[in-house]
Amino acid sequence: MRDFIFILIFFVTFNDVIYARILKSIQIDFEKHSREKDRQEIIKGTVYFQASGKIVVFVREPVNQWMIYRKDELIIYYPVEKRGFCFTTRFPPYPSFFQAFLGAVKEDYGLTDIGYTLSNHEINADTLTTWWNPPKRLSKQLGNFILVYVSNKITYAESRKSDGSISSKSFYDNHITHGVNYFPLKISTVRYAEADSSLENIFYNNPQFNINLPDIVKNFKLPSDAEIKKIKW
Amino acid sequence: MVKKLKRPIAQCITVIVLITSSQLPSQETKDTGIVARAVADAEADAEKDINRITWLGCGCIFTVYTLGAAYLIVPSPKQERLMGKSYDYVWAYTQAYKSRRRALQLRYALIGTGISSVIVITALVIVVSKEGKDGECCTGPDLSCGLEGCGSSESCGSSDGCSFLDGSSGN
Repeated sequence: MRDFIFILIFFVTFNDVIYARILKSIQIDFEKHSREKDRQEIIKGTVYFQASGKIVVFVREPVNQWMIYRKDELIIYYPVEKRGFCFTTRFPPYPSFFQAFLGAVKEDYGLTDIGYTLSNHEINADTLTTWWNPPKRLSKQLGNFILVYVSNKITYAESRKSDGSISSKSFYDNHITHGVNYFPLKISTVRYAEADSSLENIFYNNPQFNINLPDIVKNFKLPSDAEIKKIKW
Repeated sequence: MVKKLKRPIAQCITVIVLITSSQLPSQETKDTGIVARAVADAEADAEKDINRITWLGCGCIFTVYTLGAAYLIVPSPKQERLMGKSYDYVWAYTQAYKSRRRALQLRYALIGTGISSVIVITALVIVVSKEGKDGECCTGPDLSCGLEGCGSSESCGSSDGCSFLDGSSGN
């Protein structure tokens, strides 16, 4: 719940304002390795991001699957089988694994925009560590946030629960530059849970910024003969 | 000639039927496996996602209203869990998640309601028994009190009869 609130606010407030100025579009390949308890999976695909907020994820492995994120719906389509789902949602759907990549656009990771306030900072050679307090109205759900930058590149983010325990740790590596921004091409995240913690490694490659995205992404329409199940979320 | 041709055709048909029939159960097993895996994952995730304390607390405070809310308000699973999953898996997972989540919410809301009911009933029993005690005759071993009940500044002991609350004997 805490993560959901954070990501939702982050994405809604951040999306249109910041990215539209800096990024018009992104196309980037990804490999997502995740492990949780006895579950282990590798997903490979491509993310297409448009500043309008539309995100399309084409998954190539382990199945051929398209995920189209729109304002109030998520379409999951299987082009080979010509069938899929249309989930209508109350809140804008988002691919949360991509949020960490986009977050690098802002120097403060977008924390100020969602009401976090800087409580402390420390500079040690080329390393800047900042501590952030959550907004008062959400202090029961959210805890503190710690960001570490080395040579202006985000390298570590730690989020805590309201009781002070660690909620997640993210490590950022293999940065590339676009304009004045550094984008991490490797993000490792450990999420701590009561029962089992989960580990997620995301490897991005072949990033292309502000390009003309393929027509199928820009003007995606479900085929008229596709069998789509509508589900209300 | 026709007879000669018929035999190989019949053999071919038999082989095709055998191959098809032998493949059918394996496809079915595969689908069943995907569905079983989806259901198991959904149930594990629902267990992990539910906030037990919230539903217990709401059950304690709002009692039967929480039961209604627990049935009607069922959050959806995280969308990212559906990435890279087959059609059958997504369908089975979403259905199983909602079903399990609703059942868990109802269980914890019911426990909360039960706890508050026990507390209320216990409190009522104490109040009623206290009221009943006030009217009882307090008789000590020597029956020295001989009162209908102890006074407001006295407590009733089974062996001592009435004694003052400050510890001194009322006998």
